[in-house]
Amino acid sequence: MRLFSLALAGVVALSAVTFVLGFLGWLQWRMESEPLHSTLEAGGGLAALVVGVFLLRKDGERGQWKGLLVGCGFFGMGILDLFHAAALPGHGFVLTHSAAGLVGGVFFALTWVAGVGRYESLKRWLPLAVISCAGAFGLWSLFLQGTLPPMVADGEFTAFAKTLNLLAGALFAAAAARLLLDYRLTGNKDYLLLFLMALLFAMASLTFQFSRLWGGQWWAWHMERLAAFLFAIGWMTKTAMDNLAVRAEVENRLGEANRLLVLEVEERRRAWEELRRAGAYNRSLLEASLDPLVTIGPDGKITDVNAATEAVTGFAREELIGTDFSDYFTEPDKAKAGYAQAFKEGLVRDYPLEVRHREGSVTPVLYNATVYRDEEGRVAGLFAAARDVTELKRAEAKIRKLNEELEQRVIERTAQLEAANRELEAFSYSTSHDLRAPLRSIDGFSQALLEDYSGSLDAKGKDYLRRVRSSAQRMSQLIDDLLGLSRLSRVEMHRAEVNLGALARAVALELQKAEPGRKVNFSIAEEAGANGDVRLLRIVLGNLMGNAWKFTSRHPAPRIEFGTVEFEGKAAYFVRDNGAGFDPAYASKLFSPFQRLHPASEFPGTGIGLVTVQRIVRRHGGEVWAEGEVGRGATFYFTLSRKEAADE
Amino acid sequence: MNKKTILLVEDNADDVELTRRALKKNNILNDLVVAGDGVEAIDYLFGTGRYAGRQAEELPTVVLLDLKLPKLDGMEVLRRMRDDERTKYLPVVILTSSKEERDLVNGYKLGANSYIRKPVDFIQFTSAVENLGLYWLLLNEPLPRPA
Repeated sequence: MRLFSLALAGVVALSAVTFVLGFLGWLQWRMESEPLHSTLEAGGGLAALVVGVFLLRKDGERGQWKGLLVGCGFFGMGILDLFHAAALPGHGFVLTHSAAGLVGGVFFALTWVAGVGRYESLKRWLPLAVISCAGAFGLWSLFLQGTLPPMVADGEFTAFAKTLNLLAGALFAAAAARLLLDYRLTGNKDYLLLFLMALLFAMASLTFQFSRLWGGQWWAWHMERLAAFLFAIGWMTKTAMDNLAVRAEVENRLGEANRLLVLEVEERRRAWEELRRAGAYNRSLLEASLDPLVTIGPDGKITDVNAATEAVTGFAREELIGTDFSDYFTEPDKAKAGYAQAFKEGLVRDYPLEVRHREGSVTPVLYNATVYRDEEGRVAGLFAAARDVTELKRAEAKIRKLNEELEQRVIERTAQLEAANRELEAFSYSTSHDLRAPLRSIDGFSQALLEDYSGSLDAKGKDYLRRVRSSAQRMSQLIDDLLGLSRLSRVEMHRAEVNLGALARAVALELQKAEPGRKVNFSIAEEAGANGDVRLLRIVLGNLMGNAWKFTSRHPAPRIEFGTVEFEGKAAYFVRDNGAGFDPAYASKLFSPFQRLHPASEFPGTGIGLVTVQRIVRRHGGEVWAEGEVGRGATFYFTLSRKEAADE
Repeated sequence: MNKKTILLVEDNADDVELTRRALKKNNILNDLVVAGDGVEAIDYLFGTGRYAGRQAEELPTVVLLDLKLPKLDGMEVLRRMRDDERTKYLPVVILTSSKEERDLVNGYKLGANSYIRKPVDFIQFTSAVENLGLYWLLLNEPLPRPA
């Protein structure tokens, strides 16, 4: 590019120089050659036309305009110069050349007002119009030169000719200025080319009046002009070729980019497919859920539901979307509070609500909801799942009802038991009173007989009466024991930590006090901790140790022991004596009421003591058992548990 | 004049007989007045009903009171006695076969002076009566009668 612009600039400079030289009279030689001139002019004319064509294809809006105008200028110049080439020296000769210059100048100068009017329509007809007019004028000049004002008079250019050219020159100069400005403004090299050409034409037209036909400067001018045209064409060709290259490059790149785009589109499509498939999968999941699922926007309006939600509300999906979520509950305010809480805290768990079906039925549910956020972390909505708790509630209600019934039954049963206890209490009260009275009479009057009528009674009679008395007393004892036993089951147990060792010592003391004469060796453990009712446990020890006391009455060196022993991982207590013992074969009868393994004549007793012990021990959740040998003594073991027995 | 009477409130005829015998055996020769039920006891003490016309000032020295009585029971008799100024300080010995702790407690609460359980054994019974007689009739100083 540089080359052409330099070359052109060189030509312009050369022209200026040759004009000056010619002006100064240096290039005086003369050569007459019509054919050469015609060739040069024709070449120039054609070149002008070519340049014009190039210019019509310029891009850029203003460029297009200027291209059009300058192009038309070249067309005009080209056509007229062709006629000029065909003309012989004479008036038409100069006129056509001058006209060419003027037309060119006019159109060149019009670049100042480029942009006015409609480009498209102008582009269609202006070039053609110019060519036609120029052609017409050319013909007119050539063949009707008489009608036109003379250009030469007396070997000198007429004022008309001079004016024409000066005008042309001025116009070209103006255009040159414009084009230079444009070059400065846009940096577009084409403006530079046009500027240089305009400059050249301006110089040519302005110095026209000084030119001499067939003169050296005159020939130089023609050469220079042709050279300029050729350079211009060369420039434009190069530009065009560069453009083509650029275009090819661009197309190449475009092709490449396109290919990549196609690939990317393919990939996108594939990704989209994946997404769609995943979406379908997810959708199926949502729809398959039996729990009503719903998404709610931040405004509380439903954005999506699944089939289960449609079922529980009785509304179709389209009807639900966009409506307020709280509309479908028996307590809309509670629902609103629920999702407000969810939005505030991010989630809500097991929030109880009741969904109202379109047709009125109500479904109790528990809602679990979480917020979901968009990429910026803002809350985009709420995702809520409901769990149908109808069954649950029904089960709960049933349980509650059963519990109530149970409690009612317990209350009734307790009342019954209490009533039964009271009856029993009353019974034993009256029993103790009513049964004893006759016994007292029996005993009393028997004794009275013995005392008052002893004279009338023989030994046998007295003996009978004595038996009567003793039976009555025994019966009294039995009654007392029985009453005591029955009371045991009803008395309230007050559990506490008891030291059985201390209790055993107290019992031993009592036994000793009752019969101070007897000497018995007591071996009682220091500490024997137990948990139970102290009064009842005293009865136990009283009975067991009392028995031991009783059954050792015949032993010369009686020994009674109390202590603890381990039995099956638990603590067990024992009372051991070295007295009469018992036959282990009859061990099972030991704890039966009134069953005795020894006659009362040997050892007194009603046979109720051990039953009492068993009952008390069992009430403490423990068990009592015995080991013994006839004549070698007996050991009675018992355990107590920390908890109450199941059946007291 | 001023014979020390014993009021025995007892419904059981046998017990009455045995008591009478026991007293005799112990040479307690005071008059024994027997009331067969609670109403009779009250009537006697206040000179009402059956005993209308009796001089109510002449109160017994001691009242031996059984608890289980027909019509008005022993506790009620005791209560009424204690509610009345005339008999408020009259010594009452509850003589009963009941071993109920409840009766014991209530007896004392209502103002009985003594609580004796009637033993079945007659010998013991006789001894109890002897002690009673000796104590309440001879040893104990009753509230003086208003002149």
